Amino acid sequence: MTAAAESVLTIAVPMLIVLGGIISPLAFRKGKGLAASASLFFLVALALNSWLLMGVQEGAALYYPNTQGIIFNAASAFIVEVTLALGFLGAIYSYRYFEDEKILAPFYALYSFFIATLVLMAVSFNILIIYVAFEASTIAGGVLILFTKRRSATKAAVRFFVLSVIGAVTILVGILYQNSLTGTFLLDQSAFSGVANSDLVLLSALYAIGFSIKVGIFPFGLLWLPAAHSEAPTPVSAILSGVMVQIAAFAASRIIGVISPVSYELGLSLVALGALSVIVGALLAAVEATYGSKYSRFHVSPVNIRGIKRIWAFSTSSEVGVFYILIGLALMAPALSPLFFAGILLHFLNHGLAKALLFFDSGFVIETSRTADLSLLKGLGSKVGVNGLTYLIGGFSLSLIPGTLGYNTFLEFTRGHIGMEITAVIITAALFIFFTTLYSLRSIVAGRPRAKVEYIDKVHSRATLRIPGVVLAICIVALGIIVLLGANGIALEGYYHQFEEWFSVAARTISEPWVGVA
Amino acid sequence: MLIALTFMIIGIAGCIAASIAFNFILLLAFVEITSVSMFFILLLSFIPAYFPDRIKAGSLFYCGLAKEPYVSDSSVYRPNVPLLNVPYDTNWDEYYDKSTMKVEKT
Repeated sequence: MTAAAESVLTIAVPMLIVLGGIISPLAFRKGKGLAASASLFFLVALALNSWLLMGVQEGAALYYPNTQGIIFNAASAFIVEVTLALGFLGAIYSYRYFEDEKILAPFYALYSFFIATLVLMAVSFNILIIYVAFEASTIAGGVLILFTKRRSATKAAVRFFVLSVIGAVTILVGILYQNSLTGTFLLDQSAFSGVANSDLVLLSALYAIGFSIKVGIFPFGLLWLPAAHSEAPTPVSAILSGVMVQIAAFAASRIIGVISPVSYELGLSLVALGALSVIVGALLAAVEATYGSKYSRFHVSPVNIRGIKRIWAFSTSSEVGVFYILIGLALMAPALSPLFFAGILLHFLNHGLAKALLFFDSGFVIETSRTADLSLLKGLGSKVGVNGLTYLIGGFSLSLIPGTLGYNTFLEFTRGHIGMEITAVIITAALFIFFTTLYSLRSIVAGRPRAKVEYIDKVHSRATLRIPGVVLAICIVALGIIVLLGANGIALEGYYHQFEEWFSVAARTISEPWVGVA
Repeated sequence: MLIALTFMIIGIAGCIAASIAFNFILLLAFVEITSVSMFFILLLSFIPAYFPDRIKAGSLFYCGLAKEPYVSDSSVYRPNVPLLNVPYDTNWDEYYDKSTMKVEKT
């Protein structure tokens, strides 16, 4: 393949999605055709990315270099794969989610653009391109939140916008500082080799703070994350939580991994921030499930509820803390950083799938029952059907239960080289989430509502809203069983070791684009 | 507001100066300063318009003696959702669909 063709391939996936977002609304007026066309573009992009991903062989990294710092290697391809898979499911889900078909055309256009900006953020080794993609995703994400058409959604979008801009400005200061130190915008380890360590520490701290706002780390995350995730339309919530915050964390890990400052204190600060997020987020999720927004706070409406999506928004604020813990640990023990970076990829997979599932299922429950308030939701029972089971699978995966993909995260944090304190923090958060999942499902299916609820119009159950939850639950259980059996030496050991080896190679390509390349 | 205005003016002047000097980095910095300050001015002026305080409209007249026929809470101006230009979905204001279900909170 020629160099020019390779360079085109690096941006083929985001270009395809953007093209889908432009062509579909122009070619189709009706919802069905529009949804099919937009989803098809996602599917083609997913197939192309899968083909590129399969090109990764043992000990070799897939890469298509060009001079502008967009590098499509194993780690990038993996992140893009998860993003596109969730994006595709979100596109299918959106078709029946919106009651007004007229809204679908601008929605699909913006949604495709939003996913494309996230993909661009994942494949870039150029800080300016990451910054531009970051800003573009803020604008697209902010407007997508407004599609709920509630006043509270406008407030949530404004919060998301303002905080993201503050984060972006911090990153911009970092970019200018980096340019003054190295004279380049490229994230290249050799460029940082001659720079004093104190400068590298300051630069990393700037980037870590800038990205922490978008990632949703404590305390910034609490200001925008529960509001935006719960007010946005469900497919957007699933992408915000399952992909956007994670890609911001991935970008932060890539940037700090490339800069690689030697500072135990910076590592410790990041671990502390992450641990605080993990505990506070999980605790607030449990408070929201049991007592509601009156006590968990950070709500944008004067009407207090026990919001089903707010629970998982707080949980996201908790789960993203794990990324910062892993980045911090990588700085504290540089020799083990490939292991921690592998943890970042594994957590990306587990949290991405599980959280998107939980949001899709929550959205299904809201659309079926016509209420987002857990205290009015009770007694749905038979209507939930198979999605009750998938909801549990998602929750259990976040609670690190064996048999789900979450068990892999549990394995990461019980290995000898991670201190007992960190393991204890993660297990405590997992227990909170376990309790929250069981409690919220119990609230959905059993008992009587606290208020007198009477349906005055027939409620339609939409079957297509069930599909994404079921697909994701199957993926989580299938991968979880491979991990459970393989890790304990019962069966499928070969697959498990292949899985592990591939991740260890991919993890090194997060910050070293050329690793394993002859 | 004044601080934001000052930053905006500095930003615009800086943009012009940086363009003349062909300094891309400085230009980028000034563009960001300008856009952020403009964004804040926009917010400062629009938020009060979008989220008016809940006013007991009746209390405005006759020392609070006026009743609904004059002006009611619901007739206070309510703007459309920005950018999408569609009315707010007031059915979902309290997080349940009022057109489908009737809720009597105790």
